[in-house]
Amino acid sequence: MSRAKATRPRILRAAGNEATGRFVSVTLSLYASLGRFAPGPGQPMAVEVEEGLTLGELLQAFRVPLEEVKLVFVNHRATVLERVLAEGDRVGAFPPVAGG
Amino acid sequence: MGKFVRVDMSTLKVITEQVPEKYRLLGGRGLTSNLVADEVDPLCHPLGPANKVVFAPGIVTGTAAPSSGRISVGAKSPLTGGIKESNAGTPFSQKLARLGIKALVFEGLPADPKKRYLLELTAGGERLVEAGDLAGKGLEDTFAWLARKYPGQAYAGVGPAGETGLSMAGVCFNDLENRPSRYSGRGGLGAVLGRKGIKAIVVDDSGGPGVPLSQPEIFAGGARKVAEALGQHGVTKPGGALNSYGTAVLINLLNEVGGLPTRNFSSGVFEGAGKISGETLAATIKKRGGKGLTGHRCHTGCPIGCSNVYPRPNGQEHASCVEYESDWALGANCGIDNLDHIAEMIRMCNDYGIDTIETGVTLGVAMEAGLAKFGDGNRAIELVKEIGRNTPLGRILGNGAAFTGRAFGVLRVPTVKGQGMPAYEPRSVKGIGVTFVTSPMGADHTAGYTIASEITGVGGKTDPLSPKDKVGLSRNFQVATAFIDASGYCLFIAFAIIDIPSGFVGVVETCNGVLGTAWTMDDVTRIGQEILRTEIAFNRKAGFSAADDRPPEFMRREKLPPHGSVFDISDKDLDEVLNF
Ligand code: SF4
Repeated sequence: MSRAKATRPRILRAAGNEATGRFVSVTLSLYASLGRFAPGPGQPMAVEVEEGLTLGELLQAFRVPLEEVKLVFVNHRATVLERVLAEGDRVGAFPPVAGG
Repeated sequence: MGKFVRVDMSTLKVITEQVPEKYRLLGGRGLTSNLVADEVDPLCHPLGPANKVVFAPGIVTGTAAPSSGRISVGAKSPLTGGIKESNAGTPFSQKLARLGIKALVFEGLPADPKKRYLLELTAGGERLVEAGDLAGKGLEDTFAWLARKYPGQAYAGVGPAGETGLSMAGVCFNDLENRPSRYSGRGGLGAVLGRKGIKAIVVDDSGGPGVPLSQPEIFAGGARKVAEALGQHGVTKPGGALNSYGTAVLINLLNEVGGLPTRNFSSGVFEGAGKISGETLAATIKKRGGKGLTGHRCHTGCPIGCSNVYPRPNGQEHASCVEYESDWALGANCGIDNLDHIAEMIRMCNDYGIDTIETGVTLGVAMEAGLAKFGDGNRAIELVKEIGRNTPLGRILGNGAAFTGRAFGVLRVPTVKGQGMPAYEPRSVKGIGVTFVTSPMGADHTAGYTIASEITGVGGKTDPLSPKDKVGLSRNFQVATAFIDASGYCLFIAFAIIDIPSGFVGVVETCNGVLGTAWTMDDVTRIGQEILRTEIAFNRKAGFSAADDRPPEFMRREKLPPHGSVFDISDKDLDEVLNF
């Protein structure tokens, strides 16, 4: 996965936090109506985020209104927006969805 | 006061009777299961003269209550050997209810098994006519013929698979554009009807009495509450998830939680999920345009509109509808990531008159046996064709996953009580596993849809991987569902009314408005439990025991990726689920 490193979006922690200068690679999938905030088709997106960034901050960096987000997952488990991202995390976010 | 219509296929006589007092407050599944339990010998051959097929609209079906055009079909199932109710949304149900027909019962067997019959139901009476021309015809041709001969009416029918008596044959109904696409698909009910010689039923409700309201104001207040809940909730509102993407919006979600059964239940994640997802489906429909459509409704009066019409690349209609279960069964479960292949198989299933879920689960088992490679869509289409052609291989496949598993000596056979599992992996989502295992219907997701809580966070969140508290969760869903299946409402209203309690009150009020009762939420539980007790008692007499309320053995043993989990709800807990 080193190939695309230079071109991947780098997302910094919110201002006010002390910059660590270290980055971790994660993938992000925005599903259903949240897909409109993805920069292009072809999920999942690979992104580099500064160490310490939370899932909620990652979504905000893509301008996803958090009130539209109902379900978030990291590595196939449901989680919360406050979750701090770690190397290799696979992140998915959904608005309210259901089916049958 | 409604009536029962009884069609005796042995004498070819049709009689009507007033609804006996005992059945006056029943509808939908409540009525089909009680009539089957009262009148069908649990030990009878499902395709023989002693079995009966019962059609019943729900309590509020035919009224202005939103999303309430459901029909229940019940019989002893040739697939499970137990009692079966399978419901569908269709104008057929609304018209049946508006003719004042509370139940339509087919009994006996015709003297000449080669003959085919068509039943006409009108305000003027009932008429059974010979329909030899339709023998062996696919449902596309059959419904086109019916639409020409009986324009403006509603239709039900069986395909060639039902006429043959295959255990995966369903009963098919029309949608608003007269497609043969709305199915009481599960459990082989089409085989029971087909072997009774019934090829089709047509209903004309013009001049019918309609559905009388005992308490019109209470009804109107209730209907308003249901409509408001549906209009507010993110899942059911216009432009909400179901309306925009259809139920296949669940493909990516179940894949995210590692609960999307893949390649015959050997993994919970499918690398091709994105290609068959509801998002891709909606984008493809939009891009191709033409006859393609999302937000399609299966009957008038549903504000949700979860259905769709899938177009070919040139914009011509290909299949309706590509919904989650069919998309998964013929897609991920077979390792197939091509929507055009999936749509073609859905079209074929609808034409032959077979259940898409049982077909997909059977294909998964057949692939495991080496009849095709996982992922080979073209070969999968050929296998489905074998069912349509009624070849010896087609007859094996057409009798379902359990039968096919035995025929080819397969160890991994995802069935309970002989019925193929729907699109949720019990090892990753344990509450739905409890429902699959304990429902008197066999493996059936609609019988107690714990997914709402375990995955979609409707009605509070529970951890899908934990075995904790899943007994009560599944029980509560199974009980409430039995009531909703009797009411005539589409189960998808549940997402809104669980989160918005006034909506659930509205459901009960609309029932009271029709029946003149004063039911409360307590009655929901009472009625749901009574229906389940009736069904379980039938199954016991049919030879079922606690040993039938168990998962397939491999799910206790084989660890499932990505979580490395097994189905670890104890036998003791499983025995408690419906013990009330
Ligand atoms: S939600 Fe879907 S299945 Fe239910 S009534 Fe509406 S269109 Fe039919």
